[in-house]
Amino acid sequence: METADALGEFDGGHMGFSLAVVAHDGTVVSTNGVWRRIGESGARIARSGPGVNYLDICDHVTDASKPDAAAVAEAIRRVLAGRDDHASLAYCCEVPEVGPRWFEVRIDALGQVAPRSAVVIHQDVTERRREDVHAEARRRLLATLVDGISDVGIFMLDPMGRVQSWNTGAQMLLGYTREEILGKHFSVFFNERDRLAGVPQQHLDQAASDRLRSEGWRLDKCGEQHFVFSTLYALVDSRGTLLGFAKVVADASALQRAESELARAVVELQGRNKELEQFVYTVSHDLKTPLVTIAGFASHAREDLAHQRTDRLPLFVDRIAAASVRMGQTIDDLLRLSRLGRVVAPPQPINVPEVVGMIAAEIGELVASRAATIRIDPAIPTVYADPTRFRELIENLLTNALRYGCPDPGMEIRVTGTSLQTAAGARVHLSISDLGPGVPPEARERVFGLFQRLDSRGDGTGVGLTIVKRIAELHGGDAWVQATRPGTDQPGATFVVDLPGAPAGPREPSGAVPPEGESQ
Amino acid sequence: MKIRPVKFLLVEDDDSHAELIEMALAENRVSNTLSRVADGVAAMQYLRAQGPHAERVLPDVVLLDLKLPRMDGLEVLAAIKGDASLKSMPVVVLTTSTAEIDRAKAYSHHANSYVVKPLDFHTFHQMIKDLQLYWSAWNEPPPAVVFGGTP
Repeated sequence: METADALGEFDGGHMGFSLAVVAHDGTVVSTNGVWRRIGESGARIARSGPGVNYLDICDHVTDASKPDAAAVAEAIRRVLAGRDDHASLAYCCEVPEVGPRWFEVRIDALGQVAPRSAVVIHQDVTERRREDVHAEARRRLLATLVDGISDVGIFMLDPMGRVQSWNTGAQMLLGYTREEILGKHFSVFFNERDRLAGVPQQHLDQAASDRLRSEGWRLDKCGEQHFVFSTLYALVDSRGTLLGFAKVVADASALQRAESELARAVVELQGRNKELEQFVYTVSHDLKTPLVTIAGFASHAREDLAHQRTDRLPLFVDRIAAASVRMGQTIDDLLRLSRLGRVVAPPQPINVPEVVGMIAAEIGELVASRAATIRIDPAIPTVYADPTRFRELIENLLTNALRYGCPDPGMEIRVTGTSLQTAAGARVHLSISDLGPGVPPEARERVFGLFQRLDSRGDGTGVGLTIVKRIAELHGGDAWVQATRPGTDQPGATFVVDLPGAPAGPREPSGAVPPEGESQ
Repeated sequence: MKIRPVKFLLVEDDDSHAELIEMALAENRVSNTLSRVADGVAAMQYLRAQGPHAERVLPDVVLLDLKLPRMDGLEVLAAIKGDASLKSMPVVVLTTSTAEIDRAKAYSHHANSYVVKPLDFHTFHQMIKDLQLYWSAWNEPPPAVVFGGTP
């Protein structure tokens, strides 16, 4: 019989499967070579040749294989009867001189209508099973590894975008436990704006054709935003069918913070550079002014001496001495100013009336020379500042008020303070008021500039108010001047300093604000 | 060479510098007048004959320091050059500043000249002498009619 011969040659190649065609009643019609060889070797379940009823053989197995043989017979009967078109099952049996082997039996119907014949194929799947066991072990190991990764979120999505797996990193980053998130759509991680704009679906669509890298703000379980870098990979089987997606998410908030810190530092540095340029410019001018005087009068003195003229020498020497003193003062002030750029000591509570009183006593000589009175409000609220800097600030403001705000004897300087609540926390506005000529509105910015003086007759160098403003700024505040009695002939000047009224908390990191929309 | 006496207005806040300029001018034989104000506001009052300067004589040349209290030199310069009755007045910026930015600003505000105060005595004297000579001999001043007179 041609078919039988052909089957006899067809032994399944290296796969080594044994094949038999059975008629509608279970009689073996033909077998391939492997079936025959196995039968010859004594494997009971295959011990059959053409003409033998295979169902009978299965039904008569009595040893340990009996349940498997019965199951095989049942499956064959169902296919022959037309109840199933295919059936397959696995069993283990002892192969003589080899040991236990795993087999898979497949039954396929031949023909559409019952009664019909069928093909029965036994295949040794021991090796494949062993590989499957290894693969399963590897899969478990990998899953354990992925689950245990805590600093990167890794999770799987089904093709629709529903979460299928969830590792520890994902839980730490996004807050959901495995139980809470499995089955939910991954759009819950997007903010409302992105959701409404259809960003989650766009991500899936783009990832399906290629992997998608993105960065942006994602919501955690509590609705808090995190800046993340993420990559979405499509998982596709060998035939190109989309199985789902794998998403890897890393928290970039720290990086983002570092970047904005850096940007802020650059801006600050640029500001400092500009300030330094201005500083050098001003310094060169203000150091050159007394130098021109010294050089000029020294030359005059030399000329006069060359002509044996001495009457003007005392005047020249006076001028040279005064210019030298002035130059010394300027240099001292510059040193004071440069020290200010350094770190401020931690803020401490300061009893303002007490400190102002002490400083007023220290500069008693200047107060007396102006015959002025310094009146200190005893109810000034507590200020939190670097004590040394605060003393320096008060001394400069009092000195300034005495020098420029007390043109006539018997005038009064008032020191007051009010506390207020601002977005920046509790603040104290400290005021030092005089009733002198005041500062015209157009000069109110300029008086805080380095070496700027309203009145060149005073003995100051024009650095005091610069120091005041710098100290206020070092404490996160500011200093400004306004009229004590606006609209009058003698409006006076009130210098206001904004200082912390409570210990400063940690500064809010600026710049790490969620931007508008999604960036990729 | 015809030499006219020149009336200078010195705008200078530093007393010693004013003294040095005065001494240098006095040592030259030409009879000159030098008036001095110490800040920018006073300079404008002087030029506009306001307040204590109602009786002033309009100067031929203004010698203007840049760094001044109340109103600085550049502001004074802008005020002079922006005032129809004063803008023909020659203004010589006389400063210690060698900074390019100051020079640029002074000329952009229509300064007629920019002179740096020298440290060296002889140069200083020579400079004052030359300034005086230039304005009293070589330079032809604008006709008097331009200063607030009716044409």
